[in-house]
Amino acid sequence: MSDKDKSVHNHSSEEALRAEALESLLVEKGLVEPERIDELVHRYETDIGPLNGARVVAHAWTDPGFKKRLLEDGKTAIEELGLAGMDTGTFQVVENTSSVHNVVVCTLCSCYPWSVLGLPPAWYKSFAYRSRVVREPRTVLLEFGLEVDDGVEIRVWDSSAELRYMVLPSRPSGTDGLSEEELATLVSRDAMIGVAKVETLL
Amino acid sequence: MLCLWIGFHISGSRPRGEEGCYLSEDMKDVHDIGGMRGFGPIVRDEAQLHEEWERRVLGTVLSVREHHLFSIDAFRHAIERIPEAVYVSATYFVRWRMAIERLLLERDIITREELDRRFEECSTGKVVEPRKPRDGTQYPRGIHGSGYYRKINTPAVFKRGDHVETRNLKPIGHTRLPGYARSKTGVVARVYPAYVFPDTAAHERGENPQYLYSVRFSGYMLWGKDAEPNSAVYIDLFESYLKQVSESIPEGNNER
Repeated sequence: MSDKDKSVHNHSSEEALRAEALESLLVEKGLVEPERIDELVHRYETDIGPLNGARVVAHAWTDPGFKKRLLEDGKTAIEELGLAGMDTGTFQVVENTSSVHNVVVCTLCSCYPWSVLGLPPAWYKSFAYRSRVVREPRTVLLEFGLEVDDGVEIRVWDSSAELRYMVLPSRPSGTDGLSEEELATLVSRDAMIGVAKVETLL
Repeated sequence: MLCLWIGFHISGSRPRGEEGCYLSEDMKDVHDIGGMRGFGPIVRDEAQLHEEWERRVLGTVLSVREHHLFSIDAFRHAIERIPEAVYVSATYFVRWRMAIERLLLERDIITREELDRRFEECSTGKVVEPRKPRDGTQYPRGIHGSGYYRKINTPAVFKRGDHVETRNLKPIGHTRLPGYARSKTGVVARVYPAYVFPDTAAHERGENPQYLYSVRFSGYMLWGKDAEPNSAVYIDLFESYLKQVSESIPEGNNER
């Protein structure tokens, strides 16, 4: 490597080396295994994605009994769909209605319902989102392209403990004929965080 | 933005807080940013991970955590202890890497010398494959329990509908009472079971489980007359953060 190459060694390549050094040292200590690291990353990055949450939403839209159980005890209810609690202390679902719109944040760190939505997007962890959505939720939602009427109460859920929140969005009109699987495809990750509504594609 | 944080430390008067620690009304920890101004628009970066090394850091942290060597609260607190200037400039997974290193260093699981040496070796391409432990035995499990929910025998102090006030607590160390919700009145919306108490668990002072409450605060209560109309924030708060208030709380004139 030439001196010039060394000088352009940027911050992220130094971070790559620091991550490599730490992992390598911990492998040697018997504390981590590279295969296990791969497996855990794969689980949260690929296996568990927003589709898990979308299945929960679609099932709640089509089965009123399930919806009632879901809102009362989210963790037990999602086990009916074969979704385990995983990292969650408790899983709490909050329902959007004609008079209430919910949105989820973690102002102190970046708590997020990993076990149903996978890893959070970078913006969810950003200082701007964390600081602002509790103070000016309507303005923030407008930036996401969502205008909430002043007559609709906005409830912001600051995930300050081990409860993980997910929004149950309102079912859009014109979807009566759709199957549960078709409904699930309409439900976006953003709608389950609360920064979007579910729109029908029809 | 940096001067903002430095400002918290040089702000003059330091009244005594309820727990005997000194604090100024403005004093906040760097991570405690709910309601803070000045961060600008939200940049819609949808990526979960940006670079391969972030994957390794994520997996390393998750992997180490399987050994129960420290609580989730100790990990959060390690992130919070990153110096302000570094915290605000470092990206998310850099903060994770720094925090996990610090926890392992503090527990003498690794040393600064061997970490620096390994970084040097990696930088010069010396280490290709780490030497695996010779005997292949499992790393011993730590003392920290699984999950966060704990059964306790005492009844919950508050019930749904109770009017409560958050205490003016700012302990030196970890807490999950956000600064913007200190000394504010709200209404208990839901009583949850008891959970491990982060304020002590983060400092190896025991789990001391307490009931947890979802408390509703009106936008007006939190932000005053400039609050946006018809909005409320629900925060999950531990029992010892709260005290009862007798009179009912006006939610504010911007609430319908």
